[in-house]
Amino acid sequence: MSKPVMVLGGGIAGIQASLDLAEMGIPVYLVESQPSIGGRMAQLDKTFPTNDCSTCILAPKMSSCANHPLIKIYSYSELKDIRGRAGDFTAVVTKKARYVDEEACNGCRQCLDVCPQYVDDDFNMGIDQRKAVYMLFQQGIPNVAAIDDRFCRFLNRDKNDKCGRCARICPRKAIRYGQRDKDIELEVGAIILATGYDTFAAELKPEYGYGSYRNVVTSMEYERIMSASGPYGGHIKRPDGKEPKRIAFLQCVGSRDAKCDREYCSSVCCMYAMKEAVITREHIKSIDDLSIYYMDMRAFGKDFERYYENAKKQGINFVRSRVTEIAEDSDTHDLKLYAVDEQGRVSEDEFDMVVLSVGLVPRPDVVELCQRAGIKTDRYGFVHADDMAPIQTTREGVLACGVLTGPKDIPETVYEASGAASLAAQLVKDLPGPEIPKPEEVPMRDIGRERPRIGVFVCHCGTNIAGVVDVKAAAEYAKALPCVEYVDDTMYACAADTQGFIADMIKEHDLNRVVVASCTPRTHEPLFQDVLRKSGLNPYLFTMVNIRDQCSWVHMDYPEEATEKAKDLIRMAVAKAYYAQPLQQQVLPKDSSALVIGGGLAGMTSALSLAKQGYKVYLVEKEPVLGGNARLMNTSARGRSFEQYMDELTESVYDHPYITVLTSAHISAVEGYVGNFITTVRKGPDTIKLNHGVIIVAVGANESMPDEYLYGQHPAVMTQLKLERQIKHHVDDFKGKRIVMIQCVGSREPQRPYCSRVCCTQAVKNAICLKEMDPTIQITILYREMRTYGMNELYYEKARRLGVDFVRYDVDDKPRVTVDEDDSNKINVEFYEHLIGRTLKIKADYLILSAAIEADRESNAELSQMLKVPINQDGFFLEAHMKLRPVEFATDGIFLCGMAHAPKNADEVIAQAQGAAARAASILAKEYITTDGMVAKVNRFLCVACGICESICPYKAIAVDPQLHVAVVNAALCKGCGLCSATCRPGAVDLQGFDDSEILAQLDALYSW
Amino acid sequence: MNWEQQQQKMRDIASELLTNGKVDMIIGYEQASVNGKAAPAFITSPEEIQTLVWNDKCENMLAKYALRYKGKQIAIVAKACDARAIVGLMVEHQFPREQIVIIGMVCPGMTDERGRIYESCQVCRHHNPPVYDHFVGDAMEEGEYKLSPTMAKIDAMTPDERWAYFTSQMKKCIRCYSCRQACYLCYCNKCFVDRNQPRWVARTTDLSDNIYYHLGRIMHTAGRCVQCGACERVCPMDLKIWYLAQKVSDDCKELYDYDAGLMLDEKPALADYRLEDSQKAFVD
Amino acid sequence: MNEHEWEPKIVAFLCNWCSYAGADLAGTSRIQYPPNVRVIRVPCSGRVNPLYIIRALQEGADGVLVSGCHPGDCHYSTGNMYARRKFTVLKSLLEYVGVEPDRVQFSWVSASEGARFAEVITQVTEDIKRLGKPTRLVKEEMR
Repeated sequence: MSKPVMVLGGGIAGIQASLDLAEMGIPVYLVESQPSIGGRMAQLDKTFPTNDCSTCILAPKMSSCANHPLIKIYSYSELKDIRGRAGDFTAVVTKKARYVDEEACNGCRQCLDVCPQYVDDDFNMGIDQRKAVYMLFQQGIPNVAAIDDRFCRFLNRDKNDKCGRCARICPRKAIRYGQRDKDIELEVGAIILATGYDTFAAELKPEYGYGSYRNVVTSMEYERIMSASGPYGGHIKRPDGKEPKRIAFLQCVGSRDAKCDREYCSSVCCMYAMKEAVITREHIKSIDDLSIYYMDMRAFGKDFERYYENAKKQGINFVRSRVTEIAEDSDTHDLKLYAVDEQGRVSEDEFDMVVLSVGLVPRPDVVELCQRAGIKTDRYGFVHADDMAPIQTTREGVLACGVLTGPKDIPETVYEASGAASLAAQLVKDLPGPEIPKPEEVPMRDIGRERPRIGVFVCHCGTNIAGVVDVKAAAEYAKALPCVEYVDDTMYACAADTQGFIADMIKEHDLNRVVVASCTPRTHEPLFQDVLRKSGLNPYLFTMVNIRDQCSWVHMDYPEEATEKAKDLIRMAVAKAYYAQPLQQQVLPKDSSALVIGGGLAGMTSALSLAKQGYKVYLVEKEPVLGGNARLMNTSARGRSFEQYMDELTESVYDHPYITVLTSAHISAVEGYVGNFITTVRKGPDTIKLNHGVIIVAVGANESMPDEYLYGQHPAVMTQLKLERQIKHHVDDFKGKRIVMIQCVGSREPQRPYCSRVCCTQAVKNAICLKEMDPTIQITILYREMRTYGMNELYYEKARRLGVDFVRYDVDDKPRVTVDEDDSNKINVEFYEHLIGRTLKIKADYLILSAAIEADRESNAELSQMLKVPINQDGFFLEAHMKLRPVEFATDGIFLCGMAHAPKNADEVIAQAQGAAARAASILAKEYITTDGMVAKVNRFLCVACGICESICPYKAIAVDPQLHVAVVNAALCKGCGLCSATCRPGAVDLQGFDDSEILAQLDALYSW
Repeated sequence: MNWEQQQQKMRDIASELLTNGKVDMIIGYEQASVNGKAAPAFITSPEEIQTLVWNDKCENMLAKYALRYKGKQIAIVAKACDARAIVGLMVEHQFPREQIVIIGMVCPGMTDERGRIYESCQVCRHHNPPVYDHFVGDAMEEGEYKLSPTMAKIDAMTPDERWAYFTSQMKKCIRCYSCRQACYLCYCNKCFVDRNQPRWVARTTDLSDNIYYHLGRIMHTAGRCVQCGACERVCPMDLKIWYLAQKVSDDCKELYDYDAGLMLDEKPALADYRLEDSQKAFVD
Repeated sequence: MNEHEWEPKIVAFLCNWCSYAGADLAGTSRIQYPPNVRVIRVPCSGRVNPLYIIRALQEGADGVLVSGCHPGDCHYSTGNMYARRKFTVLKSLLEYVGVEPDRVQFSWVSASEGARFAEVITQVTEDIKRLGKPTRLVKEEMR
């Protein structure tokens, strides 16, 4: 076992980093300051651009963290100090008193019911109230209560005036009023900071009246208002209870604003405001007005532009105006917005609710911690990040990911987190750590053809179940059910002693099936499966039935009906158990090397990252040299030289003993599946066969060739990339010249309806470079919307300070470009200037076009067919999930990074490439590929090889064997969704663990027994 | 081109295919010995070519027979519906395109003993075979959607009347499975009704079991059926069942713009999806 | 609830990741709903074979509900999309032969929609009560 890594922050970044490390076999201490992990994402309602339910996609990852044997969660804990150095840190963690024994509490919530003290609910942004003893949110992990000692009556009163209700009601005696904060020291090899952000304090913009006008809310409050599990149960209301008819969203509140010392762009607000508007329309179909007041709509991410266009089509009103003030009608509490548009015209608009799109700001406590720990932060407090080392901090061995290093959205946060895991793994892989005991291997009993002998355990859960359901009667009823050999009712089925009791009963009564009727299998099934495993029974012989969350808790006033329901459910579970079969997890051998396709910045970074973790890598590049686009670039936005960096990187790649570089090489065939791929590579006359376990697609994308603005027809017209080379080699050509740049050339147009993301920053960077060299150069940048997101905004600001002119144009009135009649070396650019309302003409020496980034459609399509992975309508590769699986395909073992995924800047490419390496390493690190037991199975005598299963399987896990003429399941890829099974007409495919017999038996038991 | 001209051209093509050894067998139609109908013919030598016929009695769905000769090189005399059926079976990998020569027959519709055009043919929209190697006949205008007389009747009924009508048919079923045998889509090795583990449906002629069988079968053919009408024509008890298949096909057309058997690279309607598909079956 | 009133027994197929989680959330939030539903947990709404639904009706189910992740939210990315087509066609067919439209219902409930889950169950239960005992499709011996 290697040395553990500490992850600070249990939001999506920390969760992802922890899971990646644990999957690589590295122990993790996950430290979270709140009583539950989940972070900001748990507070969000939906996520853009897919409108996915945030909880739905986050909760499974939270449970994975809780269930992983290598992850130890320290909730309600804070990092106090970091001592030592990389490879040998001592982290001092303060475990705050939660006044509850985490081991004893089973999350029954009875204490919450009896606590008399109401407190503003921070999780719901103070919109409603919770109790002083509380759980952060319903799906919290750990599922354990905490007492807020600021408000608890018992803790805050003298000893003669005891409240103590929670301690009295607690059936597990888990309340510990005497608990105190405790420092613990954790020995770790690396530390990942993933502490996230605060939102801008909207009170600092008094002109918007936040805090005094009750119907002005922040976007985070609005997320909770929209949320189905929020204070209003998902019914959008104003805080005064009225359903809003006109809502305004104000952008850049605390972003791009020098007045409040927040010059940077918060990157996510444009999209979340759009999302909030779109979802609001879904909630209130009759809403009159949804207006977004903005400066530039920054829809720069993958598929964001389409979302923007759709939002416009759905009638979301986009108003390019700055709101100067909000006034409130003191009777109706409606609001009046005073706004100024581009031409300086003032307007007044009335709304009944205003949502402030507040920016992302660093957490003051984290800034302090960084100061103590010697980690450099920028002037805003974000952890200092280098373009070429976006995940490293200034303290070696301490890594940082997520919004901590600057504003970013969830997918970027996720791949940075994976990247941080990758770098941490490199650090600790050879350091010995504590031995973590492996679960004891008990030989599995062969139940062969034994007739089912079912044991049923019905749980009281204190009074949680027994208070409503007549548990004794239900248990008595179960005794009469077929094949039931033993029944007992237990106070707490999940208690350690009961688990031992169940194990004893399995032995004593020779049980070969077990049913537990208690709470939800979503949290407790693994626990009981473990009891079976330890008793030598296959864990799939366990069946769980939920008579608490879905019965006693929701039918409190109908005890008789609830008891009847519980009996029905137990009967159904027994019927299912009758058909339960022991399922085998297959262990398949695998290859521990990786194939990286594409030798640009992305491919080289991920190859090197994997090699440094000790894996063999084949790096295949179709060009004769490594480097790709980055070779053509001059400097990064922050001024780092690409040439130097790429030289060093290329050298490291060539020098690394684990990396085999194949240039001028082409992939001609890919066979196999995760762990066992065989790829055929053509290199000149040779054909090479490579065996490898994973694939990383890093084929990049290219700057497109413009077909307008005289490109290719006049030597003074060039693209930004060409300009970079010119600056590098012939910079004097530009001295004293008049330069015009046009943005969005070929982007955000019908042929490429997406934003190319990098061009605004690239144009600004090049303009600054020229201006700094010679201030007499005159530069005008014609743009549709400046999308210098995040910290790039600072360069936009700088360019303006240096005198670069920025003029906006509309897509239906594009600049007109002609060769000057008098001087054919010059180019006339004519455009409409909105501020002064006139058409202007510039006689330019150079015209620079910010050409779209485009995917190589043909070659991507070819590769996508070979790998059986999808590409999107723009020709870029399509990841498994836009939010939470940004560097992998749905097909196991295949990953992607860099511009193959979507256009992005170099720092993002590097982070994503390291992220892909981490995800790939999580497979390579394992000794074997272990398949799940609940996978599809084919009856070859029934299969007619129609191939429908193959065409619908989301994981390419089933395919018709052309020789055998039957469908064959690849258990290594199957995720057990059962779609094939429900679709197969002859019933040849069945899903083990949820098979037709088990499901039909439940129906039979319910209605026919 | 009239029936006879089409027949002659079809025979010429068939003769050429067999003589030059391009196929091992022609599946077509010959005169049946009774009731003036055409019967399936399986011709392997050029001498037998003259027994091949083409007329308005060639109602049998020949795609079903093609399934028997998987792996052989065959040519098939295919009405538009047979051709669509063949395409559907190719989509389901039952045979590769190269193994079947499709002699596509333009078909104005088939008639019963009394010369009345079959209901399925009355409302047929596809008279021209969509995929073929040889095209026999003058291309006809593709039809507009027509409501069949049975469906017009059902549409006008209340739910109670619909149920009464439906059960009046289902009661008659003797579970002889002729409809299944005639259907080219029913090529499973073992039908769900014959399974024991699990037992999907009892093998009785209980009304409910009959209904289960027919609805189950319709769900299995949903999005794949070309509405040839064979199921109903072969029924010895004269069950009206084709309208069920027609209803499902109409839904697939209306909701998913899908017509079975028109394209070799199109997935069946229920094996496909769009994010913006109809939500009408779902509560708000 | 009136003691003499007929109480339907409704079977609900819930996908593990969204609707089942939504049902759990209704529980932890103590949102009350009628005790008429019996849940069969399935991994995905795409796991539900339309024949299960016909079978349930044949066996005398007073109502059938299938609920999964909202379109786009599927844990298995597309399972619910195929399910949507199957159920849409099945529902239309059942109505065409004269089965009451509300007897079989489909819905999307996410893991955060505990209140919505309770609303759906309340609504479906009311719908089925309005329809009364099923007479169509039920096997004779099950009546």
